[in-house]
Amino acid sequence: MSAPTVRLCRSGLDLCNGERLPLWSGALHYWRVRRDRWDAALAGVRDLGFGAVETYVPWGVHEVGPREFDFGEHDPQLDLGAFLGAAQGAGLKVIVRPGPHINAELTFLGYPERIVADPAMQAITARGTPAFLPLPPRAFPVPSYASTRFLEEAAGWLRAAARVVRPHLHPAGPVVAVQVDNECALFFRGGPYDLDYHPDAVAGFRTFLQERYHVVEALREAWRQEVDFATALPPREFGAKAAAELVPYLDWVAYKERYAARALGNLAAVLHDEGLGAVPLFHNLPPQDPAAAGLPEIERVLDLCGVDFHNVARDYERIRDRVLYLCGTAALPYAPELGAGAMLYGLAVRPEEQAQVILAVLMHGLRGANVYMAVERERWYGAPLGSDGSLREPLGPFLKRLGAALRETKLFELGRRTVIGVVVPPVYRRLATATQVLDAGPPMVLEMVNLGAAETCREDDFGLQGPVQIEQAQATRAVTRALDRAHLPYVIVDGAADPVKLAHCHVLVCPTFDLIDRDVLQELGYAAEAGVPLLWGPRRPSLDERLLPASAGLPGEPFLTPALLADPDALGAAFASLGLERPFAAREPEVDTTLFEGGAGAARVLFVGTRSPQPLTAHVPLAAGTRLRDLLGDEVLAVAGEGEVAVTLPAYGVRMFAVEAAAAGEVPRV
Amino acid sequence: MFSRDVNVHDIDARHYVNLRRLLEPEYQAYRAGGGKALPLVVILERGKPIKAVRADRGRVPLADVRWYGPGAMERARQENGGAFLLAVELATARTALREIEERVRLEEDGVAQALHVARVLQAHAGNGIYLSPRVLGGVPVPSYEAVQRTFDLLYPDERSVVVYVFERGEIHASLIAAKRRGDITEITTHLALGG
Repeated sequence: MSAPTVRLCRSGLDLCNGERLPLWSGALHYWRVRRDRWDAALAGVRDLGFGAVETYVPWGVHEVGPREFDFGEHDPQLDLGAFLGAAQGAGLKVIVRPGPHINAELTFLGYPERIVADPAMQAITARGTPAFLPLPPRAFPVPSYASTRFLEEAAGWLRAAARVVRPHLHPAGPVVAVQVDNECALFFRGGPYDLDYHPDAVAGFRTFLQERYHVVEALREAWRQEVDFATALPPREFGAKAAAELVPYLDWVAYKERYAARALGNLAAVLHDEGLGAVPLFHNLPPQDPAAAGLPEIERVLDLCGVDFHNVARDYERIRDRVLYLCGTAALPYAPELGAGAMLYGLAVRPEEQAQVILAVLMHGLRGANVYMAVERERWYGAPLGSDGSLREPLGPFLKRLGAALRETKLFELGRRTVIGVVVPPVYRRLATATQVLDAGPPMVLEMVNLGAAETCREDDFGLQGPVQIEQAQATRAVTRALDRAHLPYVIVDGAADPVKLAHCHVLVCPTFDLIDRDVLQELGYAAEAGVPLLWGPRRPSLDERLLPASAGLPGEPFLTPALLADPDALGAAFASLGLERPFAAREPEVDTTLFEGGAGAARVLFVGTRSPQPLTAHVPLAAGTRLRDLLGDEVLAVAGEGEVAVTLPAYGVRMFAVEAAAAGEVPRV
Repeated sequence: MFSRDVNVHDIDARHYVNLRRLLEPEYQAYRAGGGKALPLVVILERGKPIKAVRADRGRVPLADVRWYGPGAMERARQENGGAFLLAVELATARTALREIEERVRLEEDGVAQALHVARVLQAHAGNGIYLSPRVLGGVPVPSYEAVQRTFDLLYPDERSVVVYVFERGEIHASLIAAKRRGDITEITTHLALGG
């Protein structure tokens, strides 16, 4: 293990030399930008206000023969070392993403064809077939990330790439972070009984069971079957009729959350071997539910796991929920890809809308992002810079102004007070996933039409008091929407995350029905003993994730009664009665405000945004002697005395203001 | 028909989005808050509905779904509302997926792969996969060779297709494609011409 030369910190990266670098970067693909334009393109990235440039390193492009690589020895366009040197010359740090999977809209997602063509390395479906990924220009069979042979081949590639990168690591060079693989989530085929049934994946499942149950008697008690660790088989389709039969399905779903982490841990070990562990190693999940893709598991083997955001403005609520999940669950809320422009075969995206998305993720607490793409390239449209570094409308001028605003306000160094943690026990989402009827429907595609796991699962109650896999998701949504209406800041904490995440919350809200995970029950008990208010309900859970009697009860009586959950106004009023701070709460329930504070709680930056599909005027309270200055425009809003200011917002719009005193002195909170 | 190395470059974002809007009027109308309701999908298990979802609206309570069996799809579509009704038997979906993945080959052109999918779906149309209106019925799925020959006749090699759409004297959308050896090898827009 190398001694770290760069560490994660609250505001981005600590360069261990007294300097902190905001994780605010732009993507440029060196092999797709003519080498004689690298300097101009890098200067363009720097002039947009980015402190770092990010690039993939494509295996399939650099491999010129089996396990033979060209890093510029033959084709100067592939001279990765020269590119890293050019970035350093431009005054930029670099984030490197060497795969093995990179997507980047490359044919076969950046893998050499020999890798995807080899049956021994292919993922296998429950039907015994290779798993084809239908992406243009042609579908191809995806590799199995459990396959030992695939992981060995990937390790060979990573070692070769790492040897080029290593001399360029900070502090001698510009490389400050390395991403391990890309969107490792079974290639968007996240259905529970779709894949992966490769023999090495089945072996991994058995190892997982052994780690989970330790002794065969515990496995048999949970599975209600005479199985053992050496022969247990993963389910290939759902067949449970009663609650007691659910455990093998829940275990398979839990294993699939760990599947990616196991592979990423293997790949990260290679990078550590090659000395790249001196800088943070991270991963990015695709724009889908990060809990189901195993984000908490991935953060057990890497420094950080972020989520990509390739959204449109109307996704405002989903964006907010996801960022609040990252704020409550991840080591650092970070977007390794924040869409600027788009690939051709997804939804048609207007780059103007993406400005709203970029503001929305910052508003709700993202602490860093890589704008993807910063520089135009093949199979992409709408990037803010041309390949010659020229500014392109509309995102170029927007990002330039935003970069200046981020520098002026030091946004990523500011804090946001969120005292409420909404805790989600994983057993419910695992049950929703295990009971999917649209098994082959890619979660990312279903999400585009607003269909999450709880919308597409079976509606059976399995003998419980209701279909808890649906009820719990509905209750969680009722809670978060009520908190929004009450203008109370909160985060979403995955019950599978490191328990330390709960320590940041002063109030815990946990919608519960019949089930609760053992670990979550224990941690909630500790929090309640420490005096943290615990608001749970509507049902007292009586069974754990093995569908065995829960070891203890939750303290007190249910707060989230059925009547409250059915009445958003009453639930909002119940939360408001807790007497918690509601800074700059707007008059309109569909308007959100988020306040970022500097030292001693001084208000610095205020975002005002709306989930309304119609333009509206929000009314935001403002103290006398205070003004709001639009950081992306010229408007200054102030009131003569105590009162409120009118903030005009487009549909799903977000605005970013500096909170300033009209005269010298600190700004009062509202 | 599509080169695996097709070079897609200099795509003018405004032109491209405008073109997609012209090609997807119903979806764009829906996104703008109008248009017809999106498709209703009903999942069947041994003939009985176990799930109903409407794209973008989420789960539809089963009690609210009108279902009279596969022989009365048109009536169900009308009573449930929406432009399109799809009902799928779970076991058929699994069989169809297996058949598709057994037929598709890595070395095939993307269009050839898509034709395999169409053939499998058509084989199950009316027998586990039910649609109203019946878009999979009637017309046989052609062979890839026939599609390629027709494509070559309509669009000879070493030529480019140039599409411009104007609105009030301004370029509203543009698309330029080049073809070599039977494949589209390059796609771009007016931007590549310095526009």
